[in-house]
Amino acid sequence: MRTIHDIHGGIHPPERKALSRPGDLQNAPIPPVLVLPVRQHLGVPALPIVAVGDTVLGGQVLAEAQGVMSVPVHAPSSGTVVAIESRPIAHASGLADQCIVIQTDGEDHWLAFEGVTSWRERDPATLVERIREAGIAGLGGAGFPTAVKLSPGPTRPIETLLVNGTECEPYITADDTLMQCRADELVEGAHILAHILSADSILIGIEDNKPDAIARVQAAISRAGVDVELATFPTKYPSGGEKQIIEILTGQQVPSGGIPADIGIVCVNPGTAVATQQAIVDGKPLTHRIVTLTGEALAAPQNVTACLGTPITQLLEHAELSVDGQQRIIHGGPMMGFAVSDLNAPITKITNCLLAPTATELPLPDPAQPCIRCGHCAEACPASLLPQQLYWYARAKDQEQLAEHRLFDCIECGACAYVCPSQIPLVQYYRAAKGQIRDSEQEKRRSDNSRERFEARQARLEAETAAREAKRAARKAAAQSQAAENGSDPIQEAIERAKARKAEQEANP
Amino acid sequence: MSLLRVTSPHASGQGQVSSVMRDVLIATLPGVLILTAYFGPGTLLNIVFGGLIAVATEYAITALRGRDPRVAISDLSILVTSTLLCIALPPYAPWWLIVIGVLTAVLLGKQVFGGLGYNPFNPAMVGYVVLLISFPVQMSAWASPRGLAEVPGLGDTLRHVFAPGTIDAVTAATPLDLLRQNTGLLFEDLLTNSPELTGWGGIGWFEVNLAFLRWRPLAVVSPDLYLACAHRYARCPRCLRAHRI
Ligand code: SF4
Ligand code: SF4
Repeated sequence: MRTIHDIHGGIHPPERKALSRPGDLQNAPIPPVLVLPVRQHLGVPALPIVAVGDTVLGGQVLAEAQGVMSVPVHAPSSGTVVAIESRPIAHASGLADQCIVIQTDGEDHWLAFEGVTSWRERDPATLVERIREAGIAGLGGAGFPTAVKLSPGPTRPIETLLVNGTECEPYITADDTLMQCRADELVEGAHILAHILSADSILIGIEDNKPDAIARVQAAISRAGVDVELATFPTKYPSGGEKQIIEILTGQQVPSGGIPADIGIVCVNPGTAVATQQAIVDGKPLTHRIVTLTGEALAAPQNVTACLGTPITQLLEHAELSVDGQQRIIHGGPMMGFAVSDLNAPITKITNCLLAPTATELPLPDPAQPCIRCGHCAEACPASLLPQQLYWYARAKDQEQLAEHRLFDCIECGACAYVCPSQIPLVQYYRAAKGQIRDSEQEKRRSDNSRERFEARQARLEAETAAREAKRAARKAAAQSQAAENGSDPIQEAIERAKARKAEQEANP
Repeated sequence: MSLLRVTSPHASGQGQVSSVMRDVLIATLPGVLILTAYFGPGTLLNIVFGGLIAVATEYAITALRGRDPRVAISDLSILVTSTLLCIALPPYAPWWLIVIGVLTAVLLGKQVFGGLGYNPFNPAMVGYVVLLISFPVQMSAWASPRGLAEVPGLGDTLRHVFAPGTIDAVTAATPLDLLRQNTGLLFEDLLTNSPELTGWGGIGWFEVNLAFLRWRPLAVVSPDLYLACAHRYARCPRCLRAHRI
């Protein structure tokens, strides 16, 4: 039996998970229009390879990966490309980004796929390439390209593949539902990932508030007759943070500023494992995902499998959103999600939940009061930070102290703000401070760059001058040595020649 | 339908400044009860009288500063300040001592810095220190515990406080005074020979200390930590169990 370790802090907000009936999975209708952002992952946007007017089939590549930190985008259904343009996307910034817009034809014709069942005999590198070609990026929320995660490099041998089935955020049941409905694929997917990484062990961690998922995954493990460890641990927010679950299950801490691979662990979301299984065994690219539609403003909260690119408004309609007046639509959960600024924005690979709460369900915070230094935030912080200190330093814009107090270890989980009796929007301060620090670092890099460029130019000019000097000196030396050899002086000779010419001219006017 | 844009987290706990303060007030109850049991109603009168002065002062100052005085009062922080100070004052202290202490705490300890949350020191302790420096005699005149002397009733208490000097004082040395003034006796002898350190009186002090300090000795070092701990203890029965001495 594995020892379960406790992490510092954490909170127990109301879970409200039953609202969306985890385990019951429906298909969302194919919308008339699909809007596919070329960047649904962390990194470089994909490059469109279709043109307006092209007809496309389901599973067809619409945009190609550009480089390593990029993944392609595929069509989730058949239809015609009607636009490639900037459209509002679901992002905390509320900005627009380039999207490929498909008018679906309702036929849902698909390309034929070819999978590999004998993946055990395949070379990991080819499997990684297939995973990249399938467009897989972490489905947990960050959208980190999975192929990159699977290449930690020779200096970081991987011991354990950890499937993070914590899903600690209230309301969200997408992973819970996935683990219940796709347990066999999950187990096989985990094996493929472990094979690629040459990991010795596979560990699946699930929080103990998901008994059905635990039972189904356990059953799938026995069915497969394989060596996979299933660990359950007490429910607490935010146990599902990558660093947090690693500490809970192994007692090891990922070093500040480091990644799990530094201590021999690669951590993936269950959705990523299932997508991997489908990409390898069925040859299917990532075109759909499970989304939780929940909140009391929805008459029919549920979990759906939806086409990537489905406009948010369509899914909310499907779940029977009924509101008039002001409404908050949250992309993600109530702790870390962001408020959507345009309902025409589509869902993407990282959309695990759309939450439409009523005002009584998740009331807006009261106006912030001064910090009373009660220390509740420090007690709640899972990263063992001192949120109230960070808050003071963020207000004072004291970047040195912020770094000293490990601002960048903050995972923005919101536990501190949740418990703050003065209702201070602490996370907002941290986000702003991080942005400022990044900006000033970029600024510094830019000025460093231009200084370097200037110095390089200076050096080049000096070198050129020196080379010219050297050449001239060499020429002079050569000429002198020649003169010495011939016993004549070339300058003297030139003067003689000029004199002769002049005399000639004077003689024949 | 219009979309509301706010940043995460969207959920918040039910915590309020007033509930933190209320919990701190609750946390002082055991200590106050034991003080009252051993020394009579003097501490209670301190707290009630001091509280009234403090609320009136806070109200006036926040109104003068152009803030909403009702908001300032309703967070209960002013009652925490006055209560902590008044518990620390000797029971049956003259009324003017309480008034000066409370005014100092509220004005000098809290409001000059900008009110709640901006005070560099604990306001109650600012009031206490100022009193201790300015009126050492009155500040060290502790009442005799039950068992060494008759504990005054309510009428006498009022007279002690509001008409000081009209009746006989009921003070005795505190155990720390005894230790400080002791020149010849060994500690063991002192313990057995001084009535203040044995029997009811001695135990009385022990219980008083226990009732306050058991929360956590850190209270002495940092009142802010005391606040945090006391709050936690008051809310969480598991913590109470875990830290039982
Ligand atoms: S919880 Fe809020 S009021 Fe308390 S110390 Fe932290 S920031 Fe200050
Ligand atoms: S948001 Fe940051 S500072 Fe606040 S509790 Fe989470 S990790 Fe700690």
